[in-house]
Amino acid sequence: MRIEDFLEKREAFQVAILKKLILEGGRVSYEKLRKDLNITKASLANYLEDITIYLEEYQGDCQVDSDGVFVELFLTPHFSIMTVYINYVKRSLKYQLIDYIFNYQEFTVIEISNDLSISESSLFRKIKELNSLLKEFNIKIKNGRIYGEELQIRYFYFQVFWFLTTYEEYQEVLLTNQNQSLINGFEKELDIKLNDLSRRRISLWFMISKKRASVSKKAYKNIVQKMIPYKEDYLNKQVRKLILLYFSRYSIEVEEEESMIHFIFLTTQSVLSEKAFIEYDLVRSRRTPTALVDTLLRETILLYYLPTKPSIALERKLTFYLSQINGTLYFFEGALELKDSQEFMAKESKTWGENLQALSEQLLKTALETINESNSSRSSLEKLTLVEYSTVLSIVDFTISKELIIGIDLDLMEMHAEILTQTLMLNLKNVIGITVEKYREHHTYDLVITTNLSSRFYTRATETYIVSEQFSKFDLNQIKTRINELKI
Amino acid sequence: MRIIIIGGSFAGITAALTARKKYKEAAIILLEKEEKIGFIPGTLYSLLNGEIDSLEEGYFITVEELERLAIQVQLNATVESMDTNSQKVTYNIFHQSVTIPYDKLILATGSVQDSYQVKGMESNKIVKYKTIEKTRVALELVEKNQVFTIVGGGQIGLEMADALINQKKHVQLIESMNGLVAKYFDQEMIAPLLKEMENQGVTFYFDETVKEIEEIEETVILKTQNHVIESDCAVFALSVKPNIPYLDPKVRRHEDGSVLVDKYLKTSIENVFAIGDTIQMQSSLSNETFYISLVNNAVRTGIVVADNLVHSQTPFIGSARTIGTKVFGYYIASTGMTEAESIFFDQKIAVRHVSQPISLFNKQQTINGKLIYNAVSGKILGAQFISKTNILEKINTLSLSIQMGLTVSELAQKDYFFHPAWSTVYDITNQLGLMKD
Repeated sequence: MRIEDFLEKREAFQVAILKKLILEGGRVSYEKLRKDLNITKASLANYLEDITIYLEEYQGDCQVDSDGVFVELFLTPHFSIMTVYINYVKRSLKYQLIDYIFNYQEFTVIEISNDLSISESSLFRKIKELNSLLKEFNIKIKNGRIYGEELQIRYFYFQVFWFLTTYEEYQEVLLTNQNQSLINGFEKELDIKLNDLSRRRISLWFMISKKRASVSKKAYKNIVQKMIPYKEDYLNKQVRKLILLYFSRYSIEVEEEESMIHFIFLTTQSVLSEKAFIEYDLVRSRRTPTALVDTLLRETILLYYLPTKPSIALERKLTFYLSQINGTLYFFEGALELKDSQEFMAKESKTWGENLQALSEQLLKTALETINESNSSRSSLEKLTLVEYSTVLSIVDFTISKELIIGIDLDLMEMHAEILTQTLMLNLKNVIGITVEKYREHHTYDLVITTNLSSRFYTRATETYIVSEQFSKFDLNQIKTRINELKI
Repeated sequence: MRIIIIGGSFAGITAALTARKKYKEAAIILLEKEEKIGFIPGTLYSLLNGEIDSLEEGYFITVEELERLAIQVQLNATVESMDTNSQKVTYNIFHQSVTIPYDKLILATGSVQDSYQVKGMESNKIVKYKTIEKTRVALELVEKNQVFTIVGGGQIGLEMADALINQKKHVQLIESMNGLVAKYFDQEMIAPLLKEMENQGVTFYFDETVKEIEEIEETVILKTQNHVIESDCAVFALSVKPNIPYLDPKVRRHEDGSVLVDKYLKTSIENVFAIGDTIQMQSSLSNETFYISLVNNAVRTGIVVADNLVHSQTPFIGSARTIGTKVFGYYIASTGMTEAESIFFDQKIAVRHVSQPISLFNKQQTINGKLIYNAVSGKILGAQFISKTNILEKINTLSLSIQMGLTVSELAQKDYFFHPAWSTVYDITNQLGLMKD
């Protein structure tokens, strides 16, 4: 599911308009907006009016103006548009419902209708809509409570709350003394260092866990099955000891499965650092499904890049990232998509070619076969996994591809050559894995960008690209494509 | 001023007595759901070990004593709800619902022995001890049965194992952690006791969590993740939980369900206070709060709350978590944090062990002590003792040291009496301080 799925149609369009404005650099024509969102002129006018009213509370920090031809977004430098997105979600009825259920665990129709000031029929309709969203997480709201595997329920809330909790809220509400003690416990008992992000993630996870721990009749069927191969795992045992000791300090009765939930969280949800994971990797069991998939996928990737051999550092990084992705794929169901995965894939594949996209697909297939999951209809978690494999491959690609040296040699009047060289260098500055410089004779270049029509002029250069004096966006795209081809 | 106190055990009674001294004109009403007040939860253990002869001795105060002080006691009164808007409490007494107003309300209903995770807790073959009724049933169960499985290896679990072994019963003990009284003792300290228990026939199941208790005919089956353990009876010795089903939802709670109070024991709602096992206790060692069900905390919060009913003036200084008991011939005592638990502490700690004869003339009996202290500041953080001689009082010295923020060097110099028949040249508490590098 996407976070916008909590919103009603009207609010969803308002957020879509704001996102469009952000993507388009803050200004977009009325007509383009209307066409892109596929809405009538009257609807767009209505939504813009709603947005104007909605943004009033930010007192000019965030404002949308429209003159009927263009729509423009204004943000003050210290204001984040995330604040607006977050508030849209927090005010949605569907979100308030799941938040209410989280806080009260159980509810009666009368109680929740009163507290949220909604009619019973609206309540039932919203629960139905929510249940269709929760389906991919394999959880549902029924008879006044949330049902499903405990791990899934916490995972769902974690994904949603992580998106909606601001940094300030973490500092005030979540980094309590009790959570700080637990973080100390993790660091000392497991001999690891946790960075600020990991600390915030652990704090949120434990806020959710403490709230959920006292719920009776929790379901653990899948987790117990999936954890069988990890019974003797070193880290699993350490986490069990720590969790039991920690919870014994409070009036929280924990079940055997409680520590399993935290072991899974710790090893899959971006908590351990690469260093901590690599140390664990040395002692972890090789026969667990996730360890097997990690190894298989790593070998597949390394094989793909042969004869180039990555550095040990890169191989470690690869193992670490894969372990997080594979762990999530093995233990969890459903995903909260924060980016549009298709859009991301399209962007990725355009940049890095179809080969890597095919390799990502192969990795996912191997992973699913190894952990015995069927992929007849691709779940959103699988789609997200594909994007993440692709990201990992991009990282490998960036690092493993040889550094290209590019020379710019423009046979133009000095002033024109100067400005065009500067423009080219500026545009290529952000392309990773290349060094760009003014062409120097007797030096070796992988690519020379030139105005010289005779490519044979550069005997030492392997490739040339002839640029016109009227250097264009087309030229730049061509150059970038050439660079990518040369890298592989 | 009308003060209503819900709960007639250590916390509630202490609050009533202290409030009486402080507010001569106040009307003080104590509501208690049982037919008597002041039952001592450890009565079962004392009876089985022959320390007292009858259940009737298991009370620390009577209604008459309170009434003589003009404290009105309403027995058999089960509080059903409280309304903090109108400042009223509703209780049920002999099927009649009665609502009374309050100016100040003190929640002191203590804790309950229950589990929301273990299935089958309703079985009649589970020994419980918190009320006189449950103790009476427990005594019958002990008399009629031979094989007992204790669920929980904390202080209560150990005391029950000791009492049952003394009664020539066969005892099995299931503990989810990998050791005994792990909240209070590091395992190397408790090792001699564990060995003694094994010698006396206790069978242990460590790292096992009970999931279900099932009665099949005359047998109780306890199912853990790895075992199916049979016995005649089970003994509930797991941690207790706050007993506050009547709580107005507007009163803020901790995530574990206990009532959230400030340092003056005030809840989030005006004129409502909470004490004893209904709340988490402030730690004497850090800014944290814990849930620690101990009588000393109940009594001390009962005293402090009375001071704060009208004006917030006396903060509760917190708990060092001090315990002491005698089981299987060993006196064991602990205060503050254990070395195992120090992982939750953000500073570096150091530990010292001392073993010495109990007195100058008695070199056969030894006392083993352990001190946990802040490696940088030297402040004392925790201590544990084990001995076959009664050294329990010594833990109070360490407990006070923690609460006063003493350092190891100061401990080494503390004053003490010397008598060759009753002490050594260096008292062990001083010795622990001297051991610092």
